Amino acid sequence: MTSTFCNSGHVKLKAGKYAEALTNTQYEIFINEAEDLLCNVAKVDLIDAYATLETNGKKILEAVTSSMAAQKVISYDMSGFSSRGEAVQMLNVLQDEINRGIGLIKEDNIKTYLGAT
Amino acid sequence: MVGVPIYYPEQPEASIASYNYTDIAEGTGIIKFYGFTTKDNDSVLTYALSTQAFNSDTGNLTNADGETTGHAESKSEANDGTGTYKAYTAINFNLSPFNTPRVIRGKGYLNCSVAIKETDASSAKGYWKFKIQKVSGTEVTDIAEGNSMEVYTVPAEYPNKDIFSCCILLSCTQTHFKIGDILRLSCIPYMKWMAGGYNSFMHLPHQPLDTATINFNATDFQTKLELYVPFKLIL
Repeated sequence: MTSTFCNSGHVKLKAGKYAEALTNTQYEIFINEAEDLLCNVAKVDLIDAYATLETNGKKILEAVTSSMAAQKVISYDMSGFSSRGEAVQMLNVLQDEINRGIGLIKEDNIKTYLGAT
Repeated sequence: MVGVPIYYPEQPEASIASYNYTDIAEGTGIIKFYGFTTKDNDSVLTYALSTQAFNSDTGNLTNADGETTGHAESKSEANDGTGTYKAYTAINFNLSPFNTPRVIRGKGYLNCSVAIKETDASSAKGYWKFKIQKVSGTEVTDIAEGNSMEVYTVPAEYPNKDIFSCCILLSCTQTHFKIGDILRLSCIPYMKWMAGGYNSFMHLPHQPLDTATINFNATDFQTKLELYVPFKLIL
């Protein structure tokens, strides 16, 4: 298994210092799920087209993919956080970034700019 | 100021949390733990920490040299003749695993008595090194450490014991404990041989009720071992 839009380091950073440490295989499962979902949202195989995308577009994909994967890492085991509220707040921050990113990926003019057509 | 949108509302707590008013007013979150000995059969001793002042198990423990020590007072192995400071077997007081995440940071203190005692005409020096540790599975992390005063014996004064009361600062680096992690006070006796025989031993009482132990009369030296740990207050 390989990941394209981001790596486990991006996911660990967003999941925070108190999140459970997973194996690289587990991180990649979450990353691959997010990558496939983004391909479906864009209705384009972004993984195949990745090398041809604009650099700015790659950053959006990295941000959304790592945020989605980080949410799953946080949900995997919340016992390390100082409180449940802290974990839920992190989920909300990440969800906000996901929503913004997905909104951009859905827009036709943005997709054209990124080369994701 | 725009807050973070709430996509996932926080679930209400299933219990009512209450906080010690002094802790909140002072803002230090200090909790006092007592060290004590517990026993589940004749051969298994466990050293533990609790906020409750239990009566430490008072059974007797016979050491290799034949001297009997009460369970409320720990004793190191005999000095083995090493002429430089050497660590002997540690005594580890463990708190029950945390059931909620906690963060420790700030200044902790250890209040206890320490001693060295000779059972032959020997001369040795010693001290206790105390460490607050986080035990997470097999991983042990030091959070703070400090040493007691040095105590010593001299052959001319045999039978002799040297006792001090200690209040040791243990500055804790900020450390997060997740559910299941254990807070530990590790007490490591250090000794070096000076002259004469080898039968010098380091002693450390831990009787939460502050009653006399084998070598501490409780009038002049406290026998309770009190550990003050600063917890971050999460309100």
